[in-house]
Amino acid sequence: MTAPFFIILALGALYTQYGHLPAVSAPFRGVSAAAAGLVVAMGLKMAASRRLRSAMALSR
Amino acid sequence: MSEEPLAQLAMDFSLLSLIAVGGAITVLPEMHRSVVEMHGWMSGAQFADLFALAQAAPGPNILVVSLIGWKVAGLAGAAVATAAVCAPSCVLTFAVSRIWQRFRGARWRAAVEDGLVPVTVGLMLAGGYLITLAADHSWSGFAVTAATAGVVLTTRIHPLWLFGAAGLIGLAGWV
Repeated sequence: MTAPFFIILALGALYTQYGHLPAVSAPFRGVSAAAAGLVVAMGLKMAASRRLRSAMALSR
Repeated sequence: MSEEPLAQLAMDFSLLSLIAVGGAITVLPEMHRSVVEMHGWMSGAQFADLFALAQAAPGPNILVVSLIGWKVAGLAGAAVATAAVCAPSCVLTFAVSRIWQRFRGARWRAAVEDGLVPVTVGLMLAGGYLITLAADHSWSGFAVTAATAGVVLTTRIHPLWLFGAAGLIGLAGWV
């Protein structure tokens, strides 16, 4: 986990340095929206999973 | 705003660590509450940006805490936040998994696991809701979120392609 840690720190440093520039913040608005969509999809996938239905004894 | 951000980071994130059963997504609501609402360390949009960065970067999503730590208190903040989120859950997982093995056939174990699943699902849905509100400030933003969710649910495309496409849409000034 050391390598990902330093990669993400480098990315974070770049973001803090240049995040206010329109050339960075504009694409970020799109990427953040997509990342949110990914979380929503994971939540919906879990909500529709058989694991949840069996846990709530709906399909037993 | 706290006077001792490092101590706050250590305390808040080690608590988060203990409820991080399902990874970064399940602690998203609580993390957002602590970082944006309670301490005001950053805006919702910045929180959403850092989370997107952690999702796009290699490595586990929970590394978003390193980014938050970095934003709050530099390198020391990143180290403290990362250690705080990793250590307690590592110890807990180690301890619990040994006990869990021993009660493999027990009915109460199945009941506890069944009980945790809906909690995890609820936390994930809440996380999706919160991060969407934090990230999107326009109808086109919501459209990108909805489209991404739709594509992820119906295809096997790697999310990085979607991030790339969404980045281009943002760069074009449409979000």
